[in-house]
Amino acid sequence: MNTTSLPPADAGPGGPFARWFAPLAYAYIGYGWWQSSIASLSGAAAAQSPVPLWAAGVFAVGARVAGWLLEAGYYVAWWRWRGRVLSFGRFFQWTVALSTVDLLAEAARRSEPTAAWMRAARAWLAGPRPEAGLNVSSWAIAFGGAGLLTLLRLTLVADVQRRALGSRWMAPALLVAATWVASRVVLAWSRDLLTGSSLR
Amino acid sequence: MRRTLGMMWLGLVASILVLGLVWLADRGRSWERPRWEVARFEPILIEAPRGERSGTRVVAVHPGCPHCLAGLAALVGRRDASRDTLGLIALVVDWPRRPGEHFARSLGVDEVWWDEQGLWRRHWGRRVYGETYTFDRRGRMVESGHVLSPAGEVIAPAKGGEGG
Repeated sequence: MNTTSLPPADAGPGGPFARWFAPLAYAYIGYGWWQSSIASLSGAAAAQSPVPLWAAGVFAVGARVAGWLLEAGYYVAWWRWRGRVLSFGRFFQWTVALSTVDLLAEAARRSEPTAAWMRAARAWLAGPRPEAGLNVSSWAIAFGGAGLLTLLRLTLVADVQRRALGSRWMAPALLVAATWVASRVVLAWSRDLLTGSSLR
Repeated sequence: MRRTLGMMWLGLVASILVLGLVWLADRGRSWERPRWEVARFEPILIEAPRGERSGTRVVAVHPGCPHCLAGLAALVGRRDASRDTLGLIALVVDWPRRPGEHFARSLGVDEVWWDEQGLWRRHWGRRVYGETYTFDRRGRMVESGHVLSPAGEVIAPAKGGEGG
């Protein structure tokens, strides 16, 4: 069995951040996501919600951390099944670090550019759907956020796996791409089932 | 370990396939086009009419949904401040017990009806609380929307071919 693990924490290319800088970096990423969640939640629904905005933001960050844990666990379990070993802790750190690309995409989606070229640039970067409304189709919600930043994020996730496993591009890239497409399809199906014929 | 993981992946793929089949079956169903027919619902509260109505706006509310109740309250406030001639009706859905009069009065609408038979979900195929339906005088749906829709209440005009 070929067992390749990510390099130890003190190896340069192994970790996303230098050890002394990591706590500050993760705290900043957490704060960034908290701010992003607050900005996303501060709409009409939040104004009429009995839950304070800050608490909703904390809950949203908690849900995101759970998502990172799930994502890291998913890839680690896949490679374990294929007889390869990824370090869960290290891959989780990379997952958190690479979420800054998503954070950037979120910020781009929330931006309100006035110039046409900036709106076009936003669509290329963060996908053609700038924000999810009530009457947006499930498929537009699922795939409308796909832009260059999504491609960058997926490429970087595949690259971390490629480097950690010492493998070629093909297998990690296929796995990451297939996982992303499947997750989007599941999202669209789930939303359709939750809304039925409502909002159409 | 690998056998366990293999079973796990198999379970995951099977779950996604089952979800897809459920989605296909659900999408294939034909839903009844919403019509406002009072005989199909149970009256809870009917206030004296405020004037001649040009139609009715029905809001699907669930007593346990704070968002849709707050959205309905905002809608009532906007309606009272305008010259809207639509009658405002709350339709209590997915609620097993007959709603009390105290609760009905607290909504501040013209009428409160109870969907005792679950028509809203089972026949209309609707699943989102707070959705609004505007009906003309003959009970035909003109448009639908949601109380939390930021651009007003209208989301979609009524479509002609919506189910049987």
